[in-house]
Amino acid sequence: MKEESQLNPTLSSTDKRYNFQRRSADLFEKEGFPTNKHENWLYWTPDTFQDAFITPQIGAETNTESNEGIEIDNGRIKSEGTYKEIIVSTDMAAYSDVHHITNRVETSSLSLLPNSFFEEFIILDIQQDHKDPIHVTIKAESHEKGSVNTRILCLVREGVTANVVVNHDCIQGSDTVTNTYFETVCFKESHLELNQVFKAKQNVNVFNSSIHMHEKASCTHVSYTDNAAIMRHDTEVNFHGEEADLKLKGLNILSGKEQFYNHLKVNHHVGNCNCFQHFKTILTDSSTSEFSGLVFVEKGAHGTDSTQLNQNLLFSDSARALSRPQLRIDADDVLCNHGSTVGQLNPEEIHYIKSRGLNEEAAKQLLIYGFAEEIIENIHDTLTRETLEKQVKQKIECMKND
Amino acid sequence: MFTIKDVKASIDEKEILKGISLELKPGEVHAIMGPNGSGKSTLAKVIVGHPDVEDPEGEICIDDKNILDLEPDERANEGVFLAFQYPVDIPGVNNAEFLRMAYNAKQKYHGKEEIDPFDFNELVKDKLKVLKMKERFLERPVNHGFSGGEKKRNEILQLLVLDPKVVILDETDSGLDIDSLKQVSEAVNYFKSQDKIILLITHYQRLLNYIVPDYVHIMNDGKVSKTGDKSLALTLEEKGYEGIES
Repeated sequence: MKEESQLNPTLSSTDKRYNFQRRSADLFEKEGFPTNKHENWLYWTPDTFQDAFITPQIGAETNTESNEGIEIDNGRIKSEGTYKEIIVSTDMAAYSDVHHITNRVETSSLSLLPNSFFEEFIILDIQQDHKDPIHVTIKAESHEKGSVNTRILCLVREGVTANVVVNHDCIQGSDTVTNTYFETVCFKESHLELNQVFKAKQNVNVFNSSIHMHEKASCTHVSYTDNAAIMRHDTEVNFHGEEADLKLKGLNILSGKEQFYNHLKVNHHVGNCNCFQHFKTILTDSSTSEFSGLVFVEKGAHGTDSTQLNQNLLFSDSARALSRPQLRIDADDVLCNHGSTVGQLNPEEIHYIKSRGLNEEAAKQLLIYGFAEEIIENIHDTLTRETLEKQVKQKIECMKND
Repeated sequence: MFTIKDVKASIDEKEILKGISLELKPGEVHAIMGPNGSGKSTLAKVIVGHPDVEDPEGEICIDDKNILDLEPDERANEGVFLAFQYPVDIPGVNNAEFLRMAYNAKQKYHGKEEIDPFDFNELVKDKLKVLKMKERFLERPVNHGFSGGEKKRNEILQLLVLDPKVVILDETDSGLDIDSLKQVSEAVNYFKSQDKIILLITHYQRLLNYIVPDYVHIMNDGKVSKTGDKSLALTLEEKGYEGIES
């Protein structure tokens, strides 16, 4: 069961922050680092990076130029952007009415660390409709041994429609890790399109995401990961209100010795909600991916419609894809599916394309692109989608040259 | 001229085609009929260079060029087009983009300039009219989520856009309702009027009511056992394969 903060409305922001961080630290102290005895940590554990994880980089400056939009550098707000519909705040006391601020995601004790070490508790409070994308850049740049911890709470208020594009840029030294906690609350009848692009140059990147869905809220979340030595994503979804609708889509393209570990827990606390989860990975060389997803339909959450699909495309005998989609259903009258595929390109599909005049290489590239595009096409903002399509095309062309 | 000379082929080490020879002239429609397992679809596979086919022998020539040793994409660019019985879905790939890529591959093969998206759009619109198809059809992923009839019509759209010399229609009538069958047949007849070579593979006479063949060939046990005009298909409908061979 998730741990919720015990925010006391009478406390000042500093007190609240202290209590929240203290509680997170206490929980971590109790639980400790994950080991491969934990079901969610069978294939990679942070053993050699333990010191880095518990050594927060305080006050580290980035060396990058400012972009438009909201900019968060090494866990602190650098620029609030110019969006009049959004309040950017670090005042926890002003948000005592938000009951779903969590200390951790269920699948990872590492998620407690950004909640212990954050320099600023950053709140993006979207109070009015904003259909054009709100750009948020989260930069982590450090070359010292230690961790860059970022804590963000994104609130989409009742009835609000918003489109948020988050770019995660990580530039690190060999002993540096990033640990980010991104919490999203979709209030009643809100509509959110959230696109997250992860780019990391080196080393270990941990991303913890907690998503809360209230009554009749809808959210489409598309993530794309590129270039990380080790990337660990833990996502926890909680449905708190009926008739909410969440689509979670993810694409990862891995090469070299890159490793991607994707853990997902979807909790249907209430009924009549829809959740469609579709994650795809393209693997070359000696890369490794793990998908572990659990859909949990609680007793009484009737009318739940939840589907989980993980698809992996392998282009090397040394590449490895591990997939564990799981369901736990304690309610009646639900519609739940799960499945996974691991394989190579279908020779019949290659032949079909060749029979239309495209050569073997072009046919393969087209099929790989098609595989990826099924995720990217869920991004409705044209500029964001086309930018990502261009990146993916370049990445696929590089695969050809390897 | 399209000639098939003494073609033999195996699949999974089993000899399926045991010496097929045909000669098709521009503007002619040839129908190939035969019982299940007679080798009709294997013949189509051999012509387009399907990877299942092992060590094919003989010659398949467009005009005087033997294409049997060419890759499937080279054969397509030489002018061979197979309308598949079961067209493959390509999720995530836009139909218009795929058609343009195929069109440009052919242009490039023949040393011609590639077409830009705007001009290509105009070209495709004309072809859509022939098939009475809506433009939004182009924005969908190739064959993904298409009904059986839509897939067959999409094959014919590709045929009209790529403008090959030789067309093989592999059981194109299967899965089509009467209205779709008429539309597809009209498009094929339009294509026939352009002096193209058409090879129809079918189980049923009904397609031949709409696309009238000049020759009908009956295949049996990997060989052509009988050749006649369109009346042969009617006799076949009446007597069946056993009756016609006796």
